[in-house]
Amino acid sequence: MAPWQKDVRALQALWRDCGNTYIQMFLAMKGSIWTDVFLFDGTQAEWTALCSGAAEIRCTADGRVWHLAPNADDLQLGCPKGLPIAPELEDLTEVTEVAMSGIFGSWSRNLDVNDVAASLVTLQKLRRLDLSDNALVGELHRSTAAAVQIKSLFLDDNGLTALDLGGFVALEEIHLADNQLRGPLPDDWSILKNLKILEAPRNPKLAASSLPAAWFAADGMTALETLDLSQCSLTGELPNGVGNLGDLKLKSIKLADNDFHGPAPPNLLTAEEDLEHVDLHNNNLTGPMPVGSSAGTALKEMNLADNKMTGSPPMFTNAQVRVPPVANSPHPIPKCHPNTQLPPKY
Amino acid sequence: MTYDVSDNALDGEVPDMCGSPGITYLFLHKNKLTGALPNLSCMTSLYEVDVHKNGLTSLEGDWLGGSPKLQHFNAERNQLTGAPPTSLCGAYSRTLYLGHNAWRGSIPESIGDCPELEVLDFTVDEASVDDGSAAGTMPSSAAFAKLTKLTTLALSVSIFLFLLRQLE
Repeated sequence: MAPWQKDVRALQALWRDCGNTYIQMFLAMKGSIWTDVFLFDGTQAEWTALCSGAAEIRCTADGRVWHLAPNADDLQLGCPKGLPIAPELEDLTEVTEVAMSGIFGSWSRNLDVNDVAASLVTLQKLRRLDLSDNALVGELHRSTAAAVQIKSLFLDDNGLTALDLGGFVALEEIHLADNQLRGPLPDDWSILKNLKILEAPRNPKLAASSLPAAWFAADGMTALETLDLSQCSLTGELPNGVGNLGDLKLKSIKLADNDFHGPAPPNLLTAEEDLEHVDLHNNNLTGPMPVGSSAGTALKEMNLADNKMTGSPPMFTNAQVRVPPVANSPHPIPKCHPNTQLPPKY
Repeated sequence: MTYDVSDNALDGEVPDMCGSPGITYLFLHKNKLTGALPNLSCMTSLYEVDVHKNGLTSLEGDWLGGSPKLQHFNAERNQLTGAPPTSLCGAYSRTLYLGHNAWRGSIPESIGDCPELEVLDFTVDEASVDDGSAAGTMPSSAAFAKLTKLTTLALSVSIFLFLLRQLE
């Protein structure tokens, strides 16, 4: 069987495992491309014609799928619980991007995340995986792949309780908003050396977990730029590292609506000159406000409201860095003279 | 830039904020700040300023009316005293809360020059009405007549009682 045929078989396995008569009627009504994909039985040229002209599936000149992004308006799947879904998906060895958001949740709630994700995360060319909004549950187990190559992982709006990210050596961003993650937050996520974005707001069942200091240590998430763990019922003191940024390059710190206590790091606003967003509102922070900056600041938002902090409001004392220079070009662009207009064409 | 340190236990005076001229939202409300609110004419991007519920005693300078983008200003529930600034609002002002303070003087006639004003709250507390110190806090009806968008006007019922008493 040729590689392109294996790709077709993998996609059709989705239908074999998760299709039903109702969904067939739904697809027919929508005039969905997925009817053609699931029922495809033709030549390589016909397959290439089908999959190279669509937004929801793209393939190379020889019919290898590299982009799989069914629109939730065009495809819904109802999969049985407790069975791996289309293990043949592991044959999609050329795929770089899989976006299956909102595909599973309507017809098959509470699928185990491993049943959907296991055959996808091992794909060695996959860089972006979006399984958000699918009502997936459970704990993502450690991948069987030694080195998962995914850079961007979207799992927002599910019911996940934990993730073992061992092996996700390439991960640059992970989105976990609105799940059911249980505490404590794992120290060993600090192995994610390439992680730039960690967004997991609104995970209220992290209750009483604290922010792992290991993440912010010198050998922690040294590439991290964006951290959002707002509305997670987190507690404890803010690790020194959040303020003592060291090698961290944080641009955005959002830890609002938690139960953090103790002082805010005094150098919170000064340690990183690229800092754009600081939102620590609605915690129980005490002690003096962090000091402002006397160098230029890129800050767009500083929200420290609704805490118990004392002292003076932070002061910023370097006006000229932030006032954009008035555009005053020595070579003004000459205005068009009416006579230079081209004559109308007839 | 949004600058929000509201609802803490900050004390002392409000520092000079002119180092951050890009601030659009300045929220210092619900703290224990005292002294004067500095002249903020240096901050030309301001859209909203809220300093309510502190212990401020004055507004420094006459900058409010000239702030080029300011739409909302709230300094109610402080201890502001003396005469209100002569220029309280400008071309874009929409809400102005100055009530529950200890003003000793009138709402300026220039209030009529704020065509977009929707809310004017100058509520006078009972105590200052009773001791007569809030006398003359009403601008002329000619000034009010120009506020065509005004939907909320709060001057406290008491003040009318006081004015009635003056007439007797």
